[in-house]
Amino acid sequence: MLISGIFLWSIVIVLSVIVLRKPGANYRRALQTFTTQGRRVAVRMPLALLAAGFIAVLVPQEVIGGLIGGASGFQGIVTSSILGSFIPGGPFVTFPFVIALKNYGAGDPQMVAFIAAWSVIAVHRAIAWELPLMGPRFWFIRFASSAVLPPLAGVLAALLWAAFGSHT
Amino acid sequence: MNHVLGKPAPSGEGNPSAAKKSRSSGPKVTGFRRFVAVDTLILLAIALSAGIAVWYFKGIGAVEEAVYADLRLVLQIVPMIVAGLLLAGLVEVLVPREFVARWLGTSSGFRGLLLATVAGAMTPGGPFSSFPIVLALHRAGADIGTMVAFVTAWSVIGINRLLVWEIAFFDSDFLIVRFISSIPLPIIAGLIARGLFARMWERAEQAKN
Repeated sequence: MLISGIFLWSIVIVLSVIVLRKPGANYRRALQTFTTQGRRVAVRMPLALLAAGFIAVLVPQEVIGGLIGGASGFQGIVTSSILGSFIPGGPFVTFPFVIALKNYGAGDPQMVAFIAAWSVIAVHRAIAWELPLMGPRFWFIRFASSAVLPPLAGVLAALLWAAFGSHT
Repeated sequence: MNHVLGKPAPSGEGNPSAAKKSRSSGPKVTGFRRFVAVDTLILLAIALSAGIAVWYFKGIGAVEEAVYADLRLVLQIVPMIVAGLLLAGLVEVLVPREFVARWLGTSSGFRGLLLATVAGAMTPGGPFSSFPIVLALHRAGADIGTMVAFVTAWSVIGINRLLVWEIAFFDSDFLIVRFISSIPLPIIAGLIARGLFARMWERAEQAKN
């Protein structure tokens, strides 16, 4: 955590210097993106973490483990792909739920499929952005081309963990 | 559906700052803004009712424990998030979106899919920054496979999200495996879109003209 923090801040400093020295590049606009995004996140993320923490305490561990646990196999990968498709909101809402699910016994390949489905299928994003902006035909083609991807990612992750054995 | 594919360019087209302005004033976006505020309220309602349920079933001690765990996690994550959001803003300023569109719109074949994947992975920001690029790609002459690969790469192997959110939340083991197993996805989606749906897409495009 500390190392990745230092890494991240070093990139920020380097890019800041580049933007500040580059004529025509607008540092204020970069800061603007930061503040608008930051405002979105500031309230939602702690709330999401809290909600996820509470829900994790409430839902019995055996239920999560049985449905999408490490031993749930391909069926669990498909189940988490379907669940993940319907999780709304940005990473600051979704990742706290993934953390809570992991703490309560969800399997890692299942969570890889879950995140892939939330990213690629993203029902909420399709309704709010893709359909109005790109039209139903584009959405349909993209959906039909992507529907197999989340389970595929889960299977690939399971194979990787099996191959390298670092997973317990 | 008042989508804008194949119709005259929206006001924000080709000019990121104008696109940004139209984002806060367009009628579509007002609706989305409302949706965003509502989602905070829904989160609040979920957190409150779940908290009350925990209190009822497990006692006040369990509530305190969950709140402390939440605070600890927030304190750990905040410095990373701040850095990550700054990063997103900086990249947006450094890489103008017209540049990406021009660069990708004219490349085709497998190389086009690869380039779309790389560009998608490097595109920071939410759907408000990626979908305008897809529209620009479309107008610059990109095929359906390139557009699908771009959206898929942006959403599933976005470097920005990896740096900002995944490093903050997940251990390195998990995020490395997740990333590696998602790398082939944009290419696969692009190939499927091209192989199965290219004709359907082109026929619809011709019908419009």
